[in-house]
Amino acid sequence: MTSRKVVGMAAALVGLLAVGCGTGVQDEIIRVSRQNNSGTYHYFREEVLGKAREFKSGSLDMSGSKDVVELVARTPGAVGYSGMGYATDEVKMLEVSKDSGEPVGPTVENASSGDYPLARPLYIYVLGEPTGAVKHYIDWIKSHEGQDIVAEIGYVPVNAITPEQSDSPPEATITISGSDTMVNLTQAWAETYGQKFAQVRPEVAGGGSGVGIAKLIDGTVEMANASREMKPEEREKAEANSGEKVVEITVALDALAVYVHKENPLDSISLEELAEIFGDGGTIKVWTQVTGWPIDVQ
Amino acid sequence: MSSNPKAIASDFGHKRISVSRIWHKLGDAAELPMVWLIHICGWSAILFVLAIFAFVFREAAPMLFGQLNLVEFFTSEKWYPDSVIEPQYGILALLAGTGAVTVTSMVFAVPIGLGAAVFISEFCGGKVKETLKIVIEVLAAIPSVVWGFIGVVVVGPLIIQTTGAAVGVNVLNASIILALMSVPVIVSVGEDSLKAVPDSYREAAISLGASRWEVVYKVLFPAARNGLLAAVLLGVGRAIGETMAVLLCTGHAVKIPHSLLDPARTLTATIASELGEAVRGEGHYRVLFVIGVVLFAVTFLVNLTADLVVKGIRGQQHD
Amino acid sequence: MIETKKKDPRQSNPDVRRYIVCPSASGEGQGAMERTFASIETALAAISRENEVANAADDSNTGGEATLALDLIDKLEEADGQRNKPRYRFFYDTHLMGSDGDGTERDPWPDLPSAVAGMTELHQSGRLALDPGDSILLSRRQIFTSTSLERRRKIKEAIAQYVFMAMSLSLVVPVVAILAYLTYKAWPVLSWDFLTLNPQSRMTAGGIWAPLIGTFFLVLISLLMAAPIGVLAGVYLNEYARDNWYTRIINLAVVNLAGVPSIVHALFGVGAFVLAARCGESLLAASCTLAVMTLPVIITSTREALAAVPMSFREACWNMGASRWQTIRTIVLPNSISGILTGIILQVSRAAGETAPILFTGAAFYLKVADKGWESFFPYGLDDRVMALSMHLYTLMTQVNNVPDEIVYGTAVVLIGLVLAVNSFAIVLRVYLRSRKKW
Repeated sequence: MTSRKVVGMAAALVGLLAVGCGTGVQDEIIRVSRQNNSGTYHYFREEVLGKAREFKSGSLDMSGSKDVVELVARTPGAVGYSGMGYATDEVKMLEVSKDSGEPVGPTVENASSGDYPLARPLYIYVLGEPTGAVKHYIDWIKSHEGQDIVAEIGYVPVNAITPEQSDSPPEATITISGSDTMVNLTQAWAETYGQKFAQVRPEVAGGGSGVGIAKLIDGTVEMANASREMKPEEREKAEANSGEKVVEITVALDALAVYVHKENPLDSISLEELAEIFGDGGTIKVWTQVTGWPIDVQ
Repeated sequence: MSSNPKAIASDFGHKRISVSRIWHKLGDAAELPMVWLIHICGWSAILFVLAIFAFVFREAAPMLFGQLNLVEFFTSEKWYPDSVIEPQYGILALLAGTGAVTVTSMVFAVPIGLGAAVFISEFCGGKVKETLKIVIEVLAAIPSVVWGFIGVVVVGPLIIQTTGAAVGVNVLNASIILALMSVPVIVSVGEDSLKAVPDSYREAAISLGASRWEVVYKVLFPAARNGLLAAVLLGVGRAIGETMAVLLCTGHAVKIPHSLLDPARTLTATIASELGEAVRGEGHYRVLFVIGVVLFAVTFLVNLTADLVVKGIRGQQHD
Repeated sequence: MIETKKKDPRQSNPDVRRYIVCPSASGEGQGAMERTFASIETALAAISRENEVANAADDSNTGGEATLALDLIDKLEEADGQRNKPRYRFFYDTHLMGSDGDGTERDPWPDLPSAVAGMTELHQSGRLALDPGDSILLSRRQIFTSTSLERRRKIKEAIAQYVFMAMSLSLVVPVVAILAYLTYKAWPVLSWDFLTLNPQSRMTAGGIWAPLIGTFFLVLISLLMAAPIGVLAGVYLNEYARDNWYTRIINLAVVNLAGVPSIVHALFGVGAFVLAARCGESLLAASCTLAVMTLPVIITSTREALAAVPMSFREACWNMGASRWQTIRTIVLPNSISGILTGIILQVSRAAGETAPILFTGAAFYLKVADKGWESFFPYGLDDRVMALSMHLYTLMTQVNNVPDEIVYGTAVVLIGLVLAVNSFAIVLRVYLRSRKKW
């Protein structure tokens, strides 16, 4: 390595850094999305972008609901979507309007009443009518105890149903996998239920709604959490593989919130604007197009 | 036969039962099966390499020889594997991401790694050397997911503060982390190859009046050139194959990065994030295995080159 | 001239003897400004005279100042506080053999008189043009004075050393800073309880016992599988293999196995253990995957440990009629045990830290594990999924909401600490076993 090469390398590095750290457009909209194993991702694509439209490439695709919110909290120019139960003090949730209606905020009441455009049911899928320990567990989830936990975590409870019998479940290990949006909920249920009925052992894995459904199809889990509906092809495959019918149980409601940095002056956004931001071929690229003035990036 | 009582006892001594004799007899009896076992284990490395390739290739094959358009695969940026309209499998953006992150991390890691290797082996001694070696070992021991964590919580905010970047997880972040991860490999292999240069070379140079720096750059670098190159190649291999750290630090965006501050996505992170969702046997699942084949091939080539380059030393040095 | 005994700033450098040439001054002065001359010729003549006097006094020519300086100034009054700039530099060297020279550094004059003569000649021929404020330096070139060439090289060497030191420091500083920062942020939560309690309240509180015990079992089982195979493979490669193309391929395979990306190991694990061997996602599948991953390094370190045993040991055994296996069993293996053990223990830290291979082969997000008692030590069956420390960190970072920062940092610190502790143990063990060696 001659001294000339060392100097050359250093110059190249400085050059790279200089070019690399070029002045970025400061009010560019940084899109924070989810990876495609996520039910949230699929739900957003279907509801907001429309069935025939893909996401625009170049969004930052995060692993879980939590890191979407964390990244938005750290990035002044970011916008992201995630379950409303993941809100923190560092971010702001936008009110969403649909078809030139009034903007509605993501709250439990608005989700229950259906006013919030991005409210969605959260499902548990099983193969065949549930029996034994699985039935006991699902009944417990739909009871007051389970639904109280739903409210505690920050989701919207569905009408609680008191189970008919409350005897003890048989000893079992229940394998559960799926939605990342629901994973905290699922884990809270598993923890509380497991403490109450020590002979049942729920094993919880996340991975995304797609993972859970895929495993249900393969037969490697007994309960799949999903924050989106199972597609017809998926149902067919599952039924073909197992011979049982797919049973869909709604266990909670979630409002999908649009998060922005807390310094962002924007307060509300329409579904159409969201589609133009996130969708392939969308025309909105910088904040000035949405807010009318750039974000003051510090 | 003697009549000495002690001698008689010792005559019987060699017929006494003892644990160590039984142990040794067992050991001897086990010779044949053990030798067979040893030979089989010797073949295990080849067996596993072939097995890895076989299993990955097997899952990938139906797609690889089936409906996957290879030209589109390597040249298209559109990665929409689960599209409802029509799945598109173009990994150009992912290749660009892997390339950008690897190249940039090597720009950081090679000078620092080789410089540290030279410093440790030629310029310092005693306590400083021990301390540096310990630091390098600490660097090597930190697990990959912890590096990802460091990238997100330490390096990310630092990048935003110093360069005013829009987002802290990007190519630069991942490159810094990968550089820190590859430096130990470069330093240890580089140091070994510098140590392997015979002292007579150094002594000859010094006796001609060379200063330490001149010994390094005029004598040692050319002599250890192959080993140093191998060190760099092994560092490259490590950088290409890294998964968890880049999953967390690159921002995971499917986009050809145009500057160091852009987020990107690598091949390895794509597999890690999407394999769980892909239904077994489906197109998406198999394409992920195809990406696995590509990764395996690339690292195989890199390691093969490093190995051939090192063998080149034996060919050239005949003292 | 009145002698003023004030300290002439020009005389402050004892190695330089200054001769002031001031044409406007009158006469040859004495005292502080003693060597004030009217012209260069008179100055040179004075130098010659002094030299003869000195030579006559004692023969040794080694004392005295090394450098003579002739300073040209305008006015005496300005002499104080002024430093003349050297415009010409001449050299003479009394150790030289030759009788010729032209006063340059490379080819100095042989002695002082010829130096004076040469300078006089230059001045008379007009080639020695001086302006006020300039000076001429005449130095004795000593053998070990650094030439400008040498000085340049020394500077380059110093620069090189500092650059390399900077490169090494640029490694040390970030590592130390990062570790310190992580420990500082994790401090509130680090305690014995953190290690022995299970995660509670949806993993936003409590400890990391379940992942910790999971990692322990993963590592234990994977090493139980990898160590015997690896050690025997190393034995084969070092003791039995002949140096042919076949062995070369095995070596190539070991190197390549070591370089396979961890995610490809995961793909292999899914394909081979989860699917083909029908283990499902389980502790067994994950351990097998980790075993394949740690195998090549165990092979390499065993080989090196065996190679370190001197050949003479083996030869002595063979001379006594022992077979190869007997030799290995009784002499070679026991003597290389330290290196082998070190290699195995170092892989513990690697197996504990990897996430990708267990991601799809057996790691779980959450499992209920008993809080105390016998059950809490053996919570996982071979076909259960397991929680693992590395996976737990990833989960906390990306999926668990409202978890206090300290817990995440704490998990990271425990993971690093575990890895470093195991590595240090391996090194200490190696040093201890080495010290017990008798050869």
